[in-house]
Amino acid sequence: MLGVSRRVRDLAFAAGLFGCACLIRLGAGDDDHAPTKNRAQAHVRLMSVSPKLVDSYIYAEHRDETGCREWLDACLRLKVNEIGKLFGLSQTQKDKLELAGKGDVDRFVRRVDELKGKWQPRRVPQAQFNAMARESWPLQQLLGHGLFESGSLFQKTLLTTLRPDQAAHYERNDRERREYRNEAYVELVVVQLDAILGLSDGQRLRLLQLLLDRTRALRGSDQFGPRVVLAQMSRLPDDTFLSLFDPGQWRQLKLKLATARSTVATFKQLGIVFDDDLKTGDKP
Amino acid sequence: MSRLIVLRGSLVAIIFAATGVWVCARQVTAAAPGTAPQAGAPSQATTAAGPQAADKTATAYAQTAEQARILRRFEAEAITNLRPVLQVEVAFMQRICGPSAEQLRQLKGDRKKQLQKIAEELRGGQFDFDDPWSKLRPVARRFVQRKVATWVHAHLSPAQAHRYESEIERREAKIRDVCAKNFVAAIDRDLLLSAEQREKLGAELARKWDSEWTMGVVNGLMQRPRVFPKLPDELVLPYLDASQQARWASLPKQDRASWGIQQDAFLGMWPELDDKD
Repeated sequence: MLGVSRRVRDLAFAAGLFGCACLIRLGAGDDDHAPTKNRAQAHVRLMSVSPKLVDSYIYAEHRDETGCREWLDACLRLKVNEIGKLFGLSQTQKDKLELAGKGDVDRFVRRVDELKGKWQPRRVPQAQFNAMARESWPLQQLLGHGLFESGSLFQKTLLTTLRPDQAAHYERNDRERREYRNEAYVELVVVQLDAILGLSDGQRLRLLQLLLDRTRALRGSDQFGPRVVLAQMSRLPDDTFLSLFDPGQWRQLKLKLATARSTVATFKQLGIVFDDDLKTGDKP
Repeated sequence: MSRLIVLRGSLVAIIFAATGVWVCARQVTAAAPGTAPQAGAPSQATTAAGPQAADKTATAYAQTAEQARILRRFEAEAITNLRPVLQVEVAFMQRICGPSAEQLRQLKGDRKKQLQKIAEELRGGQFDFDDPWSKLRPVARRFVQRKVATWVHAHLSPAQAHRYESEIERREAKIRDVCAKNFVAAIDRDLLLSAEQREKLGAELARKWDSEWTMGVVNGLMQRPRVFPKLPDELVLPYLDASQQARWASLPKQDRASWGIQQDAFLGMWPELDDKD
């Protein structure tokens, strides 16, 4: 009798322990499942889209089309006056340039409007939202880079308006400006890396020289300046840097370069062409 | 019958015990290291230094309990955020000065105490309870450098100390140059400066560069290329012609870009920490 009673007690204790374990598991299970639930929710998360959102993405600080047009018109006037002064252009030539520039602005606004047409107010899944947002990147980049740069109606008109010697002068100025800007970006990358690597003055100088020699302003890279410099740097062979850094610095730098390498695909999507992607004979 | 009652009683007791165990386990997990500290709660670093010690230093400045809480929170944030800064600076100092093993032992000291002291000194006597970090954020790294410089002077030879200080000066000068140059390159898109204007304006700005403008260039311009740090007109205008001056006046500007303590200290980069240190 006593044996049976003990067995029942043992059985009850075992059942209690099992219940206890189940209860703990249940409690923990709530937390364990929470991220899965959240992930699932995030998966089907709906995002609102509207033409106003396109305005905020592309026109950003200019708020809307009107604000952006005002700013672009001011840019255009300044550019035309500057070039007019530099090359002694007549009013007719300046008007022609201004008209071409306005054509670039109209063309840009039309592209934004087309995009807005796709962003009619509704709610879409996160993945679709991301894909739609990616479509706005080239336009953001174009605005940041400048509408009147190479490939624009303005630039084409300018080159046909100027005499060959004037065009050469203009292109020289433009090249100097781009070189100055690229040098500024390269130097910025060097001081940023210095901030985490703790470079000596000599190391800084050697790294700067290396980057000036081995990287350059890429087509369409302006808006992403230093990040494109880092992306170019990440494509250089490791042994380029080994003699420059001590092991601790190299460990840090390698991690940064790995991150930078992962941005290359995005930059390519945005139309930035890296030197080593060019076939022999291609023009950058 | 009585057995059944005993059995039921045991089961109920076990279930209660199990619930208790579960609740305790959850609380322990919530308070475990590695979980994110609650906003306003003192960090582990502060607790490690001793809550009473923190209270004592905090109340030396604070007039109210709320102010004491702000001070404690500031110190906790300073310790957490300045740790990687100190780590990078100490590694830099080692690279530059090449201290002997004995010198290094003296220099390294107790990192926790060093950070606590840096945090206390950083807040100083002029503490802004409404926005403690706004003025200190741009100078936090330089503050840590100065602290390391005092250790270098105390424990290393004059030649080593000189080498360290001159490297720091050159690094600071380079940051000023580069920021000025990037600012000029950014406004050049809109103002179409001549090569001479770029050179002169760049040199002037590098001479008078204020660290408060740095992140506006380093992070601000890179994220919003058409919003410029608000530099004083009197520094920029003398180098522009009339039409450029009018254009400069119309450009969108941001008074002071606000970034994190480490964003400022590492110029938008992020070092990988050596947890052994």
